Amino acid sequence: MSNAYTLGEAASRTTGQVDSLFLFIAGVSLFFFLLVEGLLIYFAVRYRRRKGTEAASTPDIRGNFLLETVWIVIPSLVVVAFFYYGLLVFRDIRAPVPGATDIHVTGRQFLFEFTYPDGRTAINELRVPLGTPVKLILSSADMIHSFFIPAYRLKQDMVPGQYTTLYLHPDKAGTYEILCAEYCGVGHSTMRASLIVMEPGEYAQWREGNTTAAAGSLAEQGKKLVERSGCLGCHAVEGKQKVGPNFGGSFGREVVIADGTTVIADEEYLRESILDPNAKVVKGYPSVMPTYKGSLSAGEVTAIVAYLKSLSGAGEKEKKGEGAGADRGKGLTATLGCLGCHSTDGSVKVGPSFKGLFGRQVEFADGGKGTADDAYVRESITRPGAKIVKGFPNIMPGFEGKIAEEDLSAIAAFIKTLK
Amino acid sequence: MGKHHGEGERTLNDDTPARGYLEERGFWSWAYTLDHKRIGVMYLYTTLFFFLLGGVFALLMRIKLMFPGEQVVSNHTYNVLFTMHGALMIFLFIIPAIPSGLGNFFIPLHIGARDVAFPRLNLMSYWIFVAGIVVILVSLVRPMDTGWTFYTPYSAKTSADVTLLSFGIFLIGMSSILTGLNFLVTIHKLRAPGMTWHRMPLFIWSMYATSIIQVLATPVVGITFLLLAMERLFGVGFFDPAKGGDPILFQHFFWFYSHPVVYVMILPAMGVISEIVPVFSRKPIFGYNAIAYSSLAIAVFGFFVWGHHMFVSGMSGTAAIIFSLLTFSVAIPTSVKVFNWIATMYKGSITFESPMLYALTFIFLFVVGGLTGMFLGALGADIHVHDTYFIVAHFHYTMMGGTVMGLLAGLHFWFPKMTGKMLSEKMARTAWLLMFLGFNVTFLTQFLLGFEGMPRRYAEYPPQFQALNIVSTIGSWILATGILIMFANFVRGLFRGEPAPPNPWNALSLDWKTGSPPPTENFREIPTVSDWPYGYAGRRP
Repeated sequence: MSNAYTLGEAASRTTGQVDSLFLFIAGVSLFFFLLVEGLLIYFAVRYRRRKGTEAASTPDIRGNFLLETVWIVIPSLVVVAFFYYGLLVFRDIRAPVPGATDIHVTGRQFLFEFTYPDGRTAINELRVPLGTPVKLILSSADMIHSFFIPAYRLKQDMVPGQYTTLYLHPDKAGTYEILCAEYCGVGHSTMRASLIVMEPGEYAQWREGNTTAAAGSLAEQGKKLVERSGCLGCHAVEGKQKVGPNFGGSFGREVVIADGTTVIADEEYLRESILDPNAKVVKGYPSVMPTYKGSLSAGEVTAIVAYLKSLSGAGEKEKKGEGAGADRGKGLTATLGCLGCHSTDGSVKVGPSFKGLFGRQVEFADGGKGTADDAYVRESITRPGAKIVKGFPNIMPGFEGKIAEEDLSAIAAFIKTLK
Repeated sequence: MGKHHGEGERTLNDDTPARGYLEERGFWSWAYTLDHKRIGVMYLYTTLFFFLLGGVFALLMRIKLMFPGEQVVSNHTYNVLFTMHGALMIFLFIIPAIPSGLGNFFIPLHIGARDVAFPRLNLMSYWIFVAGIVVILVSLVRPMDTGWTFYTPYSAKTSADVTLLSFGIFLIGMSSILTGLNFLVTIHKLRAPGMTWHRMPLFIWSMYATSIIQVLATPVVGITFLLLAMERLFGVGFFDPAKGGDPILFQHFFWFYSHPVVYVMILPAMGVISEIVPVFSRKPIFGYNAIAYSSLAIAVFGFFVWGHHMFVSGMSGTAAIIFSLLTFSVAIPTSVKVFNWIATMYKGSITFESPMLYALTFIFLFVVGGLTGMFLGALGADIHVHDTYFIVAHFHYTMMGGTVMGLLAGLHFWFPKMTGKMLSEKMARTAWLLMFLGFNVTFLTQFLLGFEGMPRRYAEYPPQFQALNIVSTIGSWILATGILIMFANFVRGLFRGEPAPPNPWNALSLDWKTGSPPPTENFREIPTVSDWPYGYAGRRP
């Protein structure tokens, strides 16, 4: 990957322009830096008073009209020069380029979606031929994002409800980072893409056919596609949830859809969710995923489905006994933030510890008593305010409608193991 | 409450000896005090607490940033950390610390007054400030993750408690407006006989300029937060393009306040430096008028440059060009001040006690902050480094290297006056050395990171940036060690410091002409002023 310090010709003519401007300002500033700091240090040393000696008599200098005029006029001229040079580069960067290829770019939490003139789309990968200028028409589907190519020294915000433009001059073949530079939420720092500048011949070849060489098994190909297509910005493979459901263990699972119905996450469900993500959104997740229809071929979708399937491991579905449920429940208590207030080792945090809770007699805030059985645990998760354990604050948020039935069962199973 | 409740009614010239303002004890004697010095001290304790807390957040962020992936803390937690670091440091520390803390304490002392013009309003400002803090702390239940800049549409849509936090800042803004108003009236009406405008200490000029900004700019951010609250609570679409609004409008509103407010942060620090440099150079300040009026010029110009935060926002190119030119205009009065301070040292008889050490550090680091600002004002260069670590480094050089060093210079300078105790010079020097080294290691590297293209607010980052990030983190530990030693020195000074004479630095301004600590109403008799406070030429202490 090329970076700012790659020697040799610049990635783009804008790189050279901006670097020259930087060098100019840096050179002049360095002169003033040395002058000012030099005088500061020189005076401090030259006019220092030795320890224990009386203060010397000092001259009554209260100002000097000529000197003060000079140090107003000279900096004024210098900053006007900085302004003017900055303006020239800015105008040049922004100047419309005739014959540029129009490519639309839409920013979304947390990926870049590119639309080529012929209707093809791509996620997180912008391929352009060497030497042909490109006009990027930027917009956003949700938050403000910023399209930043460090190697080109260019940046432009992507604003919802507005088009902004950015001209690219791909002057050197290579792969360059595209980064989101405007904070846009939890996945901001993973919102990255690649600019791939290809030799014109190579580019034409890529446009013609599918260059995805059959490398590795189907699942391995799927893994590469998942990494390349921005999926991981919103879906973790395992561990802490991101914006969307985790990939690990997704295949074969029973999921609750936003409208309350349940489906099995089989091959067809996964395929549909990639190509038409809003059709069946898992309950509790935002409906924000863009469609990959057009950007992934049928073969590529197959590969991704195969990869997701491989993550669940064969036969795991069958051994989904109580133990497995409890394991999942354990993960969920971390993911959902339960452990912020409830310990699992008997120590009291904000709420009662999970340890030893199940089956215990508890006294409620209203004076009533009851057994912490399965029904109680479930109710306390969905409607925590109903039966508060005496002595604890009523501050837990309710999970009613926010947690799938099977997740609830898994958590209850986990708490049961801590008896 | 003791018998001294309502100090204002006590006869001024009775025969009892003057009591130091710290003598009365007990919670209520502080909570109900109308004494500007006590209120100033309460502001200092409060703001310094948040300086330490914000610093802890910064250290956690730096530890997380040693690793390029999602390590140490989750990305969401990291986003909360940088938001709280920014919000606490800006709204609860750096804006109020010098104006409300040192300003409250020293404006009446400097101009020869017994108190500020409206002591009750002053007390109210403090408690509104505390109310704002309480609201902000409550908002931590669902902590903010928007960055301290609250950009829409994210701030309008996130599930974090933006409304509550911005209401807290709204309250703090109100406190800031009332304090500014109080100071303006105080400076206009309560100067001692003979204290003409051009005999005022330069600290007063800078506080005057600061107060103008506080009174004029702060209402705008208050209104902005109300609009944001309406957007969140009632779905009014001021900033929502789907409803005909404009997200960039929010940025204009926000920076219309938040740019001038950086001068609320830096001007008082410049005032402190203008006091300290002549005292330790034993020489009159060079170019009094230029320094005084450049404060006003900065305050005025500061209102017309907010657009330089938005060069790549989608704002029109013409607007960007105009804002770029106006931005450079602020550089002139700023550089004038720096030249004047350095010229003051020329042919002086300079000593380097800790206040001077910190003051010179201010000048040294602020010059770096100012010169790197030249890249950001120039359009073509800003496009590359905007929203990268270059910006982070730049504003830490101006705010931490500038304002915080100015505050620390002021605290070391006035500690004997405020507490009646001397600090340990040895500890002060050790702390200074570590802070100076640590600061530069931490933030100089960030200029490089920014130029190489590392965006700010990145929880995870491309691996090629790791080496410099580790260096920066190590720097933050050195810096933190220095700060801890400094606070230890403060605590030691409070309890075991040598008793301070009324005028340990042989300074000429009126604050040194009363006891250390000063009595409740500052002066037994209001002094009559016949000269400016910088007549150090030819003097032998």
